[in-house]
Amino acid sequence: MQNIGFFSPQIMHIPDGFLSVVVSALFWLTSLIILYFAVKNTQKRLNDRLVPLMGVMAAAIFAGQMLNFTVIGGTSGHLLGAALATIILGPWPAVVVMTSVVSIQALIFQDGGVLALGANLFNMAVVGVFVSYAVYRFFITILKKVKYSNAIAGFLAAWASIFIASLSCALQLTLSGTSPANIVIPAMAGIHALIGLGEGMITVGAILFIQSVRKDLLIAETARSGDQKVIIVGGLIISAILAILSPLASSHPDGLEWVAEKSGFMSSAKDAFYSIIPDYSLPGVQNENLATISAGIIGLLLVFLISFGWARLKKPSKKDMISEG
Amino acid sequence: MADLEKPIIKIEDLSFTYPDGRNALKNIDLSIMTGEKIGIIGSNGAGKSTLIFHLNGIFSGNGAIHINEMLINKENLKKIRSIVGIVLQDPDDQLFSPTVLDDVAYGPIYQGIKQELVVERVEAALAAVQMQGFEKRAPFHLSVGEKKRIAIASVLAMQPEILVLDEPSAGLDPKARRELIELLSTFPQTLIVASHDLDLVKKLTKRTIILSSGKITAAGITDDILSNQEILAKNGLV
Amino acid sequence: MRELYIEENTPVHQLHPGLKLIIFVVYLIFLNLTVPGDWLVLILFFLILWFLIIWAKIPVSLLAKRSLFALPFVLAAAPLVFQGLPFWRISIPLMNIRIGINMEGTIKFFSILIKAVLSVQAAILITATTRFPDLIYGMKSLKIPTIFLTIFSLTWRFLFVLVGETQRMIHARDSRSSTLMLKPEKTGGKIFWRAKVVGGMAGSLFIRAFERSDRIYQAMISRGYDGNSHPSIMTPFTSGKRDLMILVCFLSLIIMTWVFGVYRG
Repeated sequence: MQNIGFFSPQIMHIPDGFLSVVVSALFWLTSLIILYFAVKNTQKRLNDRLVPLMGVMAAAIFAGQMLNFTVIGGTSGHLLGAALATIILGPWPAVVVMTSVVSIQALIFQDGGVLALGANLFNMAVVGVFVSYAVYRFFITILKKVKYSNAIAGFLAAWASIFIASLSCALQLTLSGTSPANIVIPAMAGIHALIGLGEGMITVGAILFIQSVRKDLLIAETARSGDQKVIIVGGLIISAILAILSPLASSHPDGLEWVAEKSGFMSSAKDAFYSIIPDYSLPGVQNENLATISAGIIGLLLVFLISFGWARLKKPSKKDMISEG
Repeated sequence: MADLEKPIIKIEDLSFTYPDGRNALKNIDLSIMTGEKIGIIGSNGAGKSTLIFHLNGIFSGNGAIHINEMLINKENLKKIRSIVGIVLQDPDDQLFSPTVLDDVAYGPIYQGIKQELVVERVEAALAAVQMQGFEKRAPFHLSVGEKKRIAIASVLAMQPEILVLDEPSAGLDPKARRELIELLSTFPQTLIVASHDLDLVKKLTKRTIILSSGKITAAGITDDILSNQEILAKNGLV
Repeated sequence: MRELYIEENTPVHQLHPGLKLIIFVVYLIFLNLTVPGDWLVLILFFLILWFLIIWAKIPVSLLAKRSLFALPFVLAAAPLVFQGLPFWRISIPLMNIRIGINMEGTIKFFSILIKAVLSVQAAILITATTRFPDLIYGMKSLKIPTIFLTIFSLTWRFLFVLVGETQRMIHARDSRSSTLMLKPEKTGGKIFWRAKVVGGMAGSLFIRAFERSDRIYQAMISRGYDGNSHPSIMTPFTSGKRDLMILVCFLSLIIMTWVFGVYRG
């Protein structure tokens, strides 16, 4: 991987150009909704103390992603940190923290696209966190009496978070028509099954260290929030969907369409699906000229709307006056 | 084996510029003999830490550095690091294991030393810094003075011929500082100390160089340099 | 490591950051909506962007270096070239294989490549002409929730501090990673041990960050923070006539280019 300055791009941050606009929009919507809940949930708890904590932890995760250890020869293992953040902070704050990390990486350091940010956030801040939490709590519960249950659960949570997130990433690429399912899914899955081991090992090391120094940090989270059943269920559902869909889809280059075809009840969904998939002429409009004119009118409307919207936003409100300076 | 006639460290015409364009070192020439105790002093930003990190190849600039007559290059970095041991300024940056034993053992384990011998090395290193019995303690919970000693021990465990310390007394209270100076004065290795603490430099070193804006602006016997108010003032040290 | 921001005084620099973000996002959307293979439109988008880049006096070398970021991902799209009915076959000597190159796939592949590079360059343009606090200000004017802005600001503020800590930790570890022999360079310790060490470094980093955040919190409440207000920015931007003109002008250019593409398609 390129290493420019302190910073090395990672292979789960999808750049712009690789996802279709439709897929990008879809995942933006999904991520924004989940983000909304994450913010609401974190504000419910000790709100103002959490803000500097999340800010600094985001910085720590960002910096932590620089850490590496030699695997063989030139390759090295890195840390994503979603699992660790979840274990230390709890799931909802972890979502906010990972969002901050991935957003800044995209906007300022061009690691991951801006249109693709919604999808990247989904993979790393949502799937990464939800799956970690589900797996961690699951194993902590069933391994109750076992020594080092923390570490074992942490390892599995970390591995799962990377692996499942990579499946999500692969499916986004396939949905966009960028990569054939039968290549990208096994490839991503295979590579990240290995990378996940690195994440798991580093996470274990971190947990053991934290346990020896500030045990309270590991226990505090559950004491504070109790079992977040929503997230556990969410994490399990996501994992299930991805784990089932992926091997099915990966048997065929146009995997997802093939899957949709095979499962009868999805055929109607497929039609709707096809009508908006990257075709870039206005759906439903047959006549070319008409299409162009319509596009032009929509374009003009957009310019007008945006400029008008901007003017409205810029109108100073009372609140601004008071809080500024 | 180091020849007592030839310098153990020889820096020739070393210059270094940071990736963002900052010029950190300019044409440094310096020779250090085996067993010497040298002080490097200079104001903040003078380049002390930068220079130090060239001694074990963490940074590499233009110019030649010979350690034990071995020219530092990409291939022999790991070997160089077994000869030149650097103790950084902030012990929190250096101690990353759950127990003192783990931290001090890192160096020898990495060197590939057998398990039993590793424990011996650790004990010897802890004894040298007078921290025997701390093996099972968590470094994070120790006092600053204790952490500093453990950090030094973690380097000593590699048995380097040259010991380099970056601001050893930073953050220590008077008692811990005094104890550290006493400790360091018992060490037999070639010693390089970079510090603001002029008194410590006076007590520990025989020769001193002054760095200012990346250049060596003065060099000589420690007592002479440190009693020369004019030179000190010119280099931002008083 | 420092920021990407390059100090200059061009109109692009002075443009209201909120507007910059709008133009940026609109550009990205319509660039990526371009049908693969519509080279003319892609060239037009290239010209629009590079006009701005040159207007903003961004050094080309910087752009070139950073644009390569998108490259590793290119592998993900590479199969497109070989998928489907081959229009052209290459035989690889010595290996007795013939590979089929698919026209449609290749077109798609290069379109993706171009879009990716242009998107990265557009992002670089924004960061090079906008200070971070001003970006936050821009986002604030676009009504992005304050809690994010505060967290982003704090993250940014401590990013370089913690990165510095991490770099020193890595230096410290490297300084103690030595071998006794020159060759063969066999280092002791298994891979699990090495990973555990890195884990310890991560754990240490996190705990120090955690404890640091305590101190920050103290500092914040002693300055009147109550969980609501957002630290204000130095120079409030006003968007004057010129800014609006730039907005309308470039939005129109972008959208017209897209429409042009649709018309030709």
